[in-house]
Amino acid sequence: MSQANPTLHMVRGSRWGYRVQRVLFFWIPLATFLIVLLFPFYWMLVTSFKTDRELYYDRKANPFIVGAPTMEQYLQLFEKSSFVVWLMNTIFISVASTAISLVCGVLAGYALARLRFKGASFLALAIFISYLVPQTLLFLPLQDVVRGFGLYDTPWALILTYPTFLIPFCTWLLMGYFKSVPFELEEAALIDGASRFTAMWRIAIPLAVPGILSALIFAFTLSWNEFLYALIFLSSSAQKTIPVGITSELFRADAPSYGQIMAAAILGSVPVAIAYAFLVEYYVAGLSAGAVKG
Amino acid sequence: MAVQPKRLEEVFERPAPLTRLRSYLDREGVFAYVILAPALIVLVVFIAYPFVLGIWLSLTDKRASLPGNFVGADNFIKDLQDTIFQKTVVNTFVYTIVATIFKLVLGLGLALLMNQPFRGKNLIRAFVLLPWIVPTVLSTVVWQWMFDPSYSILNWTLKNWFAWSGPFPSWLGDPFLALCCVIFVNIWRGVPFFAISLLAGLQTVSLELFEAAAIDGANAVQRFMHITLPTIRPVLMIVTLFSVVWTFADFQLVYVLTKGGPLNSTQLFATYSYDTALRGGQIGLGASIALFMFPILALVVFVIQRRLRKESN
Amino acid sequence: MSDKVDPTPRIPRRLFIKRASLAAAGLTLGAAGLAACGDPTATSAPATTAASSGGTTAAGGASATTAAASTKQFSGELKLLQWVSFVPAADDEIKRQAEEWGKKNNVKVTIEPIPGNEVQPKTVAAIEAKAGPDIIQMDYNWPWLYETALADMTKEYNALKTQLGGFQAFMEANSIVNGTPRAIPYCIVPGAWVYRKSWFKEAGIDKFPENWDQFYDAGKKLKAANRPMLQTMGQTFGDAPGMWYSFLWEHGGKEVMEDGKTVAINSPETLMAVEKAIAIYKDCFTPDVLAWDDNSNNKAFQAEQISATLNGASIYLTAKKQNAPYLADMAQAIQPAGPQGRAATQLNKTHAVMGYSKNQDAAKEFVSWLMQPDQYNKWLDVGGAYSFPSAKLYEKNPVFDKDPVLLPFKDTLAYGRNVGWPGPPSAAATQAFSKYLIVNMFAGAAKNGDAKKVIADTEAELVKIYGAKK
Repeated sequence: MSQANPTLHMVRGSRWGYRVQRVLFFWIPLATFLIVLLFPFYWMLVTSFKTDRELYYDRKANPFIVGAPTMEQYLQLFEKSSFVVWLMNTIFISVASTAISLVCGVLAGYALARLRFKGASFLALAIFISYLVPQTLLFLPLQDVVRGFGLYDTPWALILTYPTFLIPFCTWLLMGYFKSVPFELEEAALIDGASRFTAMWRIAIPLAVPGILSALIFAFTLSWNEFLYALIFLSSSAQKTIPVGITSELFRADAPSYGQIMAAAILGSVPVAIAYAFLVEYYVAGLSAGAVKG
Repeated sequence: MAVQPKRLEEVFERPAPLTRLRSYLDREGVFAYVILAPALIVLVVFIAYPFVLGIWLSLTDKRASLPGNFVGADNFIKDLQDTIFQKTVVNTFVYTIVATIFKLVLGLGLALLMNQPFRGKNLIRAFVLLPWIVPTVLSTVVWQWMFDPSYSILNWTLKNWFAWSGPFPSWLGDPFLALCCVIFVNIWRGVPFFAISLLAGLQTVSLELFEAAAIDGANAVQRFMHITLPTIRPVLMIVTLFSVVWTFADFQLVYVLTKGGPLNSTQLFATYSYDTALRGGQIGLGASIALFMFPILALVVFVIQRRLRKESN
Repeated sequence: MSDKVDPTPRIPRRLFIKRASLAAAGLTLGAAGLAACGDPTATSAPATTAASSGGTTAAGGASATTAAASTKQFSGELKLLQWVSFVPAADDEIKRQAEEWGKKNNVKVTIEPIPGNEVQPKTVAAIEAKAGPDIIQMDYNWPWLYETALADMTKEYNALKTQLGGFQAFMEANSIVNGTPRAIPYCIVPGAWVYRKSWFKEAGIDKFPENWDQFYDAGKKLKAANRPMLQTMGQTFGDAPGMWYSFLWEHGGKEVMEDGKTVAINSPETLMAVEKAIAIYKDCFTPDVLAWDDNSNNKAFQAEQISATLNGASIYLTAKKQNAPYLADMAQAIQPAGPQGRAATQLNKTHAVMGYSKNQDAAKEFVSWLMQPDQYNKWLDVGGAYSFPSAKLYEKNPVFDKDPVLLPFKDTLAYGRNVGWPGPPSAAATQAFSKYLIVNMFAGAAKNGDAKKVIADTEAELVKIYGAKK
């Protein structure tokens, strides 16, 4: 993974000069980036462990540290809101839409990458373009479609609409992986009398597993992240996903409630963070594969 | 229904119906469409059909709870004459262009930094991606809390560390500052995506070429311009393409942070369409606002696609 | 009108799902889930005991609707969408009442509060989806905008009107759309200025300004003392219209003529109002107000950053509940007067039953039941003079005289007007309100200082909605 670096290889000169240079042009900029990128998460964490009194009334204390750590915000979140329900909804919706999109994406990616048929290049382009159709372009007509199927305010409104942006992405990503699987292996199987399905199932798909994992983590984070459709197609509290639940039910009217909101934001990020921790290599690989092979 | 011998022979000669179906399905062209079908069905029902429906909606004067009548291009003309819409167009372009340039420059900078050898690289890479991984709404509420007019930590810092005596910046209240804040948060979220993607591109830069150039006396800037940049250009363009599309069509960040305000100074196509259709109840008009994004995005995709194809040839 | 969802439209979808053979596993599961969600009212309900409903009737007095209900049987679910009240205890109380009624009538009633600014988009989305909450608590004259999507409430409205001694005139006008009652008036949330007595004194101001000129002078002093008195100029449902519609009217400006058709915004009176607003923004306010929503002034007051703001009683009530250190320093005052005296856009709320609801009878009954003395008086008490009654009968509730600090709220009721005044309530007036045209006129002028241009722009927008110009 890590590769000898070209730039610093070239640096010649005294050890001292090298060190100063390294600090000035490497560590300081990197640290600045890290502080700016990560401070909001620190702030989220710190806020969630403070009492309301410390958050809003204590003007003497240093706000960057927690004076008297408390779990009060988390307890309140579980007691007073439907956070657990939203969490379950989000998990269910993300898993289901990811599963559907993966199945469709693997099959479509395989077909477009490895089979010759009429209209293949047109379909590949169509799928690429449909990936670039943003959710915000279609939310109004989609609302009519959702109503037509009687899906409004059910998880299926999201499970069936999220694949509109997940399938094109998975397909596009997996096409790259399928192209890299040697054709000879499959041809040998076909000559031995295996059906196309068997050849795909037994040979190509197992070899594309890294790509499938990349697609999986991407699809999962994208569905976990989705906001607009969830905002519009769901109505009742018991159906909401975490992002919509937080923005629509945790903001109190009479007083600020940032402690609870931050606690919810942390807990709402944990599942993606865990999925990501396990699959970070695949995520990065997918990011680069998607970007490089486009 | 007695089976006659001749027919029996025929049956034996021709494959059984099931086998016939199987071999039909095994034809490359047929098999391809069979396995493409699920994806195509979803895309036709939930993208192609809504797209057509969206065009139809935009040609009607449909309002909430009332049926719409066909009004031709009326909505589009109304949009163009609407001062808020004009503002929206300007905002969206400023938002997209400024944010993309910064993400590109900062992302490339961070990628170059991370391409150096150092300890704990993988850990840092994982942390760097956090802003991109965490759901936008959840990270944006943190920014909202940091920009809060009453409890802003930024103002606290200004006051206590930089002896700022006020008046404090009204982060989301001043129209210009609000647009800056929204752009800043977009950059904050997007830089990791650029950085990590470009890092992958950087790792394909040929070391031999690089060393040869160094021996020939090329300085760092020259090496970057003539070796690094050409190598990562395709990645750069693809990443930019994605970012432009996502930023141009952004909704959630603005919705959470400013709702398009103050004074529509952060209104984007998506938020204005949402406001018009779902707050004002003018569904047809709202649909027409969203549709304005399409030709612009199509043009961006087309141009970048063509450049990419040219490069790969 | 009511969209009885029958199972037929579901069939083609199932067929289509079956054809998607390869995704069968995932999607058939989906169809099962859909079918399950589809008919929540399918199970038959055990009979409501006459005794429990009878009890309600006895307690509630001679209510025609409630009496009729004792013979009715309900089942299924009811959802009521409303704002998150600024007095949390009031939300708790209505949830408790919902549970009580639900238990008696074998209906699962859910109260779903969301931020006030979200109610309107959710309403439109539900109307478009022809599904969602059975009852929506509407602001101002929304029933006019969504007339065709709302159930006819004539019977319930008339029964309650007789029983409760009539409704506030301006709320009656909001609820009866083209002759048909489409909603039951629920409550009024009046606004008054809350301020810090000692801070005013320290800045050399003896009492709260009586008119806008005094307000300007006081505001200037307070801003200089770094304790500004602020009010939102943002796009937000309650505080912004409460301030700026009133401000316009008090200076003699109006968006439309009495006919409700002829736009009249471009007048010397409007110009005077807008120019005064520009001065107030420049010399008394800070830019924060452009982005403030309804909660922001509550927070700023609690953070002791502002000396005064226009709001419902919630800031005071919250301070009282928390026993805030500045509680004794708080006072309330009625809105300053303009050249044309006083006017007030009272935030007011009505309950509308949605036409698509499958449980309309239960919804109507529940909404009527909420208006009965047992429920309503308790809800008012818990609200602690935050919400005022829509019906005459409840005006005598002692809660409004309990705390002398809150007395000014009572006085503001006399000045209540509808958005779109002096025209009648109409869909056009609500449309103009939903686009925040009046609020944005003031905010826009405050920001760029060009009163005439902003008024002309607003006029053009209003003409698009109302259709004619003076």
